[in-house]
Amino acid sequence: MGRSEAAVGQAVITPGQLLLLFVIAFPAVVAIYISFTGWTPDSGEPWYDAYKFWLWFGNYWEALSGSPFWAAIWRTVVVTVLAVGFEFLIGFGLALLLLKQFRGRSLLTVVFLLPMMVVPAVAGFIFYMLFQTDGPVNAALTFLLDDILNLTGPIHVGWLTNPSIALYSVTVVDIWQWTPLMFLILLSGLVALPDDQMNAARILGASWFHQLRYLVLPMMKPIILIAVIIRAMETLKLFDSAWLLTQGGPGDASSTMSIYLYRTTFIDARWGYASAVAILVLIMVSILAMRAIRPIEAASQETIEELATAEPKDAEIPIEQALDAEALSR
Amino acid sequence: MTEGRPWLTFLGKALVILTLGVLFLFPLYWILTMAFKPQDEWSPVGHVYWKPSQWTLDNFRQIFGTAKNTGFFTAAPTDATSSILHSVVAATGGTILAMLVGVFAAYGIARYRAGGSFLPFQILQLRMFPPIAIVIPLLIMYSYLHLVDTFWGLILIYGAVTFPFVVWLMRSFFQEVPREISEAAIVDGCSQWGAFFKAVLPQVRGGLAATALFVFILNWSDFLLALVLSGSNTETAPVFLNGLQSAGAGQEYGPQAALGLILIIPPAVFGLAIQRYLVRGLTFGAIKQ
Amino acid sequence: MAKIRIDSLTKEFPGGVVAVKELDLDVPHGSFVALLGPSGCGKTTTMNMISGLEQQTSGEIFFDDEPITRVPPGRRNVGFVFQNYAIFTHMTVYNNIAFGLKVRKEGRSKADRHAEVQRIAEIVGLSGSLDRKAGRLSVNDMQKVALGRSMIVKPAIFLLDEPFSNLDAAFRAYMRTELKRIQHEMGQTMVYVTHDQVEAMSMADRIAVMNLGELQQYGSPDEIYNRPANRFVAGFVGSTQMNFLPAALAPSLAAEGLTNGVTLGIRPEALELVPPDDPRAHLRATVGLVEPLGAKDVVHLDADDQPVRVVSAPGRRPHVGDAVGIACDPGRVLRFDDETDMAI
Repeated sequence: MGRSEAAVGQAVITPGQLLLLFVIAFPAVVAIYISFTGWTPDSGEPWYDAYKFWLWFGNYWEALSGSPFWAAIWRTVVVTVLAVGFEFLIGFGLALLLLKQFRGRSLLTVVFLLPMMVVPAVAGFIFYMLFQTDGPVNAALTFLLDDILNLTGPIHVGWLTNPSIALYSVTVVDIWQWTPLMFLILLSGLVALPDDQMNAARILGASWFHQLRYLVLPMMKPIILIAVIIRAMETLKLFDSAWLLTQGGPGDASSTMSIYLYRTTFIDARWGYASAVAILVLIMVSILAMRAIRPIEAASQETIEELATAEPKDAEIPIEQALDAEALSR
Repeated sequence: MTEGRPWLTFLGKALVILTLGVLFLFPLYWILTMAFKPQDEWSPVGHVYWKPSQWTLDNFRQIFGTAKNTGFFTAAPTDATSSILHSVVAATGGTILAMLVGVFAAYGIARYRAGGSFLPFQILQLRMFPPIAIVIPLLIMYSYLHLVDTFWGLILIYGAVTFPFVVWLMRSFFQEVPREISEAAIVDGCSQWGAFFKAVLPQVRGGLAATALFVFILNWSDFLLALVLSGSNTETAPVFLNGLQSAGAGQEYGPQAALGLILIIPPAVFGLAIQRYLVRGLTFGAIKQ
Repeated sequence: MAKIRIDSLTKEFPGGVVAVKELDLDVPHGSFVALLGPSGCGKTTTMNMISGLEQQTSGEIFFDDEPITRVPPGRRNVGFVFQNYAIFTHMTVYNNIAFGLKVRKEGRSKADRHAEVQRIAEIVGLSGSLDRKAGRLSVNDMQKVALGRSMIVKPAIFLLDEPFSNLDAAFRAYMRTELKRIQHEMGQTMVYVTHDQVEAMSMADRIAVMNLGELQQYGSPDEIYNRPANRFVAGFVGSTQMNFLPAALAPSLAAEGLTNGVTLGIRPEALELVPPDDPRAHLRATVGLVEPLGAKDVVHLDADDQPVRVVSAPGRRPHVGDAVGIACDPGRVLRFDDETDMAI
């Protein structure tokens, strides 16, 4: 590569590198510094004097050995696994259903896209209204289970007030918002599957289940992997909708890691401890990123490879053209 | 499967699609109707109003400060007009910054492999960090630089947080432009920059627009960063919405729904406009629709 | 082995396109029938209907006198080889071949399956490649996998849709003989779709020529070549295309003095170049272009603005611009009615 090219290359990424520095490097340094201290803004000292409250690894020890930190991690993992799992199952089912072209499919696709477009904070607010003990969700369930099926009495589930349930309510909001994305990704994968191979399998006697297990899923593996990893990454950071929904409560029943950090910072005002927790989170996320990047790159490569070796679909040649070609070849 | 009775499968499928459709649409229906409900129908005890008995614009009047009495339960102001404007300013500014930085960086990565092969990984890592984790040092830096509660402060962080998307998206768009195009321009006498502006950039116009809209949606939707870094002068709409929640003991559904509805219209419109590129954007360019 | 009877088969697509129009066809037990015609003539659509991938609009298909319209493709016991092989690229060769056995509930043990796969691999010549990933094979090997995969379930009927058109010429010739050999050994009924008339002529017991969705003629290669039913069949079959001359041009060849509304069809091999004043000449022409093809020459001539092609031995090659006479064996002249294009 020529020298001018390399120079231009460096020039164009410099602003980006500066921003990265600003957003990662400096905060990291400051955070590490603070994390070794017990400083809070209430202490009256400016931040660069935080060394006056030096704690060595006290904050880290407290986090790693104490239950609130691990409880928050656990809750985050639960939400992520459940949310991504259901998003995948529902999204996949929906994609399979909407695979064959039919009238009104584009309209339906738009309908299913809408939740994804909603500002997450507003989504949290919407479900806040829906999950009120006196609200429409309970009313609808009562109507279904009590009035129609007569299975139970009136339903008064405390979606937001019951500590055992609140976390799952948060999960529901994420599922509602992001299943459409899974649906879109998986649909684009399904549509690209080679028809001929499916037909060949049908003729050989494969049922839809066989086709799913031996053809569809293996061929979709790269796309599924990318979708699941990316969704999981985003769900780990969950804050906006959860905050509007429960603020992490009742108590800390629905405090995912982001909410836990927020509360430690702004409600407990323990900035030293919070910084340590933040650093721990950053380390964990980096490890995850390193583990995730390889499958993602491999998966994108595989998708490209498969598309390259896949047989081209037969072109529909108009009859007149075909006859002309025949005549010309004589 | 149900050979000879295809109508049964059709019915089953239609039922499932219908049910899912209703489930996905109902929350949107709820906020839509709530925005037009009179106060006594928001959350009466023991009863649910599935639709407003009379559609009213009062909630919107509250939100825009043109109502006769402000705040139903408290005296807190519910005028959200300025917060909406703040959102517009912050989101637009952040988008412009992200585009400026990101488009150039994306070109460098796509065309010159600038930054080595690690840069994409670094940018991915950036997206993985929960923003809350950098909030403390960010707040410290910002108060030191007097950026708290300023638009420049918001624009700066919005740009920083969304420029990875620009890089990812535009990189995939640039990769679709054949090298020959810029090489032809250079042969014709253009410099590297000239080739970029005159030959390559026009080829990705569609991608630029889609990326800008995409990033705008992201910035518009931000809540946490604004919550922490904005104040009374720059409060954005989502933060204001949250404020209404705590001020009104969380019961002022009407005006909140009105504000929420206004808030979600731009992303909905833009999102539908760039449907084709959504998957590409949300999977960092790994999957193209 | 099974016989196929196609009765009044019609396929109409939404939008009015009629891909197949009232096709009647009888494929006897164990025979090799070629569906021959240009792209878009309906041959692939017919195949798809026989296999069950598409449903006909009207008409019926019988396997051994049993109507099979309501039988799904997986249960019709047909083998299908696609033009683009459609092998499962993400699986190994072994798993590709074994697939048909794996998905059929035949209660075979894994050892049985293994033996069968080995046997088939032997027949098609893939014994050494069983562990390779199918997507990484050469095009020729992919075709073998496609064949083996279909063969292993012992279908009564074999359907092949232009299976060799993507192979290189040498391998194509080899595969043709291989296929005939396998068919003779296993005795399967084969329906073979192609647009290449050389392929059809060399391989088939009977050829069904189709055009624009309609059957033009159904007969042995000899019948198709020497007694074409209409002008289309006459023009489509034959490596150098048949000459079509208005009867008025060579009245000595027209039957019973009929010169109006008749077109003569003469194969280039039935013509001979003679000196212009030779009494044997039926018409005169000027030499336009000479194509030397090694074993023969194809001479393109102009007779009164009418192109004529003659195949002649390489010995006496004419020069461009020569005036020559063309002699013809009257027994080999075909006549076609100008209005109906049918043979007279």
